[in-house]
Amino acid sequence: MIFRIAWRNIWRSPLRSWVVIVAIAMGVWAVIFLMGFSIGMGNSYVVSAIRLEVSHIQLHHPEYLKDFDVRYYIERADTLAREVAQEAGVRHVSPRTLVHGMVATARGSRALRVRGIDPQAEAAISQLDAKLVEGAYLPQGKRHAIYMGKKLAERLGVRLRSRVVLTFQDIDGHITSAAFRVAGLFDTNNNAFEESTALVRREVLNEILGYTGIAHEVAVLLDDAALADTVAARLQARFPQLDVQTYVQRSPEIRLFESQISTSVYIIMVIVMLGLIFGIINTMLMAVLERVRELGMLMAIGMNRFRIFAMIVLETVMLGVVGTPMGIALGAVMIQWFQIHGLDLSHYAQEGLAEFGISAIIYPDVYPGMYVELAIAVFITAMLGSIYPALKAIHLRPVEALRKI
Amino acid sequence: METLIVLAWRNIWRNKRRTLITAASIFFAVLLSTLMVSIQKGAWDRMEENVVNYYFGYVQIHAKGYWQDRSLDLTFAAVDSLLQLPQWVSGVAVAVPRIESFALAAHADNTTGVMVVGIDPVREHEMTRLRERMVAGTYFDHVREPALLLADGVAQRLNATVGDTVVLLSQGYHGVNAAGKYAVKGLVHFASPDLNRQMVYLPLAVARYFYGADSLLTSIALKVTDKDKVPQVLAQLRQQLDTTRYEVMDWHEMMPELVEARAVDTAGNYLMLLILYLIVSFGIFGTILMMTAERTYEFGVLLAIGMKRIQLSVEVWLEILFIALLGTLAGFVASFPVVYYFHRHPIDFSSSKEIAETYAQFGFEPIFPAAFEPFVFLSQALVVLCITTLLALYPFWKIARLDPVKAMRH
Repeated sequence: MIFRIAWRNIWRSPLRSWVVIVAIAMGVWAVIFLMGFSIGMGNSYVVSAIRLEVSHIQLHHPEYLKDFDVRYYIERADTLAREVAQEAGVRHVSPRTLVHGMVATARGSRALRVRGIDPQAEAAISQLDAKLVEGAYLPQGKRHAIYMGKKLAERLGVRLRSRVVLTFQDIDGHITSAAFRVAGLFDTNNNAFEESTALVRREVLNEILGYTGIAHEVAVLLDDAALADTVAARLQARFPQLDVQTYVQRSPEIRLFESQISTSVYIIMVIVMLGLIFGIINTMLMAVLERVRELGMLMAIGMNRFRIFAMIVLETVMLGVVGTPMGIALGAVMIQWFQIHGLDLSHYAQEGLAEFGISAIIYPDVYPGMYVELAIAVFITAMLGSIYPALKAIHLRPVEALRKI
Repeated sequence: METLIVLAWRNIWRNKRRTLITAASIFFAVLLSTLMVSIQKGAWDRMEENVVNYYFGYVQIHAKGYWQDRSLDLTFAAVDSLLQLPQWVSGVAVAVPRIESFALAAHADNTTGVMVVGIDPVREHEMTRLRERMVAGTYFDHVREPALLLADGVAQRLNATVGDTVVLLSQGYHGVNAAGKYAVKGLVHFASPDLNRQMVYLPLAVARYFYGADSLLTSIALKVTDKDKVPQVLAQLRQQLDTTRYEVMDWHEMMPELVEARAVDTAGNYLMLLILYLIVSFGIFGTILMMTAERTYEFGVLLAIGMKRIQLSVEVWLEILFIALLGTLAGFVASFPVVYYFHRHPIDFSSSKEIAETYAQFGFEPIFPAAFEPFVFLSQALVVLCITTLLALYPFWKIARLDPVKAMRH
């Protein structure tokens, strides 16, 4: 019966109740918005890092990762790649020859990391062929083609068909140079990658290094990121002479970044709930103080204090129960819409986001149980907010209360 | 008007609890906003300082078109009038000449790409305090010394220390081969992780010889004593220099991506604060609603005895304002010591290597000071002022429609 009384009490002052309900709905909606887009941005960064840099699993010579020394290569990399591809859970494999050196053009020179790849294998993992904006992605027949970021080309002052000279230390320790021609340009919205890395054909790079069939890195993309640990363990057991690492081991920053995002997401929730609680306390306090006479009477005719406390708490919780679904509905609709269309920030923040390695079109994402957690948060907030007003209500003395006008 | 102010002040204390709770919600919002904005501003300001003061400078002069290409071919002659710039441009303390370009540095079996900068040791130190940031070895003694200074990140990559020989290879002026062997005279530390991974210094004359670029410079960086004078300096230089031969750029023009990155981060923060204020506004609106509803009788009486509607509306607006100001002031007073503390003792994550590396990826030190500036505090007050004025429209509207007779029957 207290439920029915509480419910009816709320609607005795519709305007006041609606203010709180709408505030709660707005709060919930806002939290869904902020959380969804924060997670979306985080995903964008992680996906980009996995595709372009660390993949799900990578295999190297055990000494390679210390200094990225070109002498620590993997032999017979093509055979290895085939064997790795046969493992359950592996979707794509790409062997890469890596060289750190200098690129020089008629106008200038820069440090550059050159990645020698097998075009199709690499495209499957990094999808860089899809990011083509000019020219072609390492076309057949052009052995000394180089595929670089548009940003890098701008910095170097080169265009399609410009000639660039790569200088680096080969496996025998000699400084060697090779000329390439810019055959294609890509745009990834990840400045750090674009300005530091360019792609050439692996067989050509190996030839220049003087060793055939080698690679420095075998990149592996799995069907599902969650399989990384198990597949890596299997690969390590199968190839004990190599160093097998998951993306988490390779780049602990990714894990840290993800956990920072999730921490900030919870902080958002707490801050918004705290903002709401003041309004709730105020409103319910007013609701109690307005009804001093009525409460006095109820107590005088025998309603015990526990029931009165519960009634006030229930009234508050019910306001939350009405407001939360509204907020969640609004939020869910918005997230659905943006998941299809994306939030396009390219007019305002393309370069700024590219500095962080985040794509300019953001797709929000929710984690399973997010809505439930949010509902629970509102419930707790409402309960906590109702404590002070409810305490005030039960501390009224019926005799004095009845005398109030 | 004075009466209205006194009335308003007394009225808000008629219901102490409600006033205090409403003020508390504003106090919370102001405290949080001030803290968040201060820390975010502090972190970005520091990042800018680390990069600007310790290397780029706020203003640079180049040959026209140089910044777009960074090509050694776009160099200019080091004329005296440019080197004596501080004498004829006010606000500039030092003109720092440099010649810089990329090179491959090698030591034993290690190679890495670096930025080789030819510097005037005395002037460079005046702007960037380079000598003070040495962590090993000694600074250049004279301009022709065939030695180099390495940033300690570079030294790590090359596995080199003071006394080792490093080979530099590059492409010089007009495409000549640039090759040289130099002893490491000292190591320098940069707070900016990006700079720490790349910088190698040579004395100006030695660098010019290395690049085959006699008496040429790629840039002159200017030390501007007061950040706010930068626009003036820019304007004066653009007027007095031949802009077909030279370009004058400030920090924002040289690194637009960083400026935008900062804007994005700031915008995200502000969005969250906006939402917080929105919710707090609902709370205030609830209070206003209650205030107006419970005093309908009183308003009716006041209007009946001759108070003008506009006066009553202003009085109610003042009440809301006072409550808001109470909360805002309390918020400031509480935030002052906290912001000041983090201003002097920045939040420091450098003990955690992982966190430091994560931030290093984005070019940040893992140290976050809070910016202690009036702007941050005052802008909060302004926001609160605007919100309350907007919300006061409701009682304004209500009072305008009030019928005293009906109201007195309430």
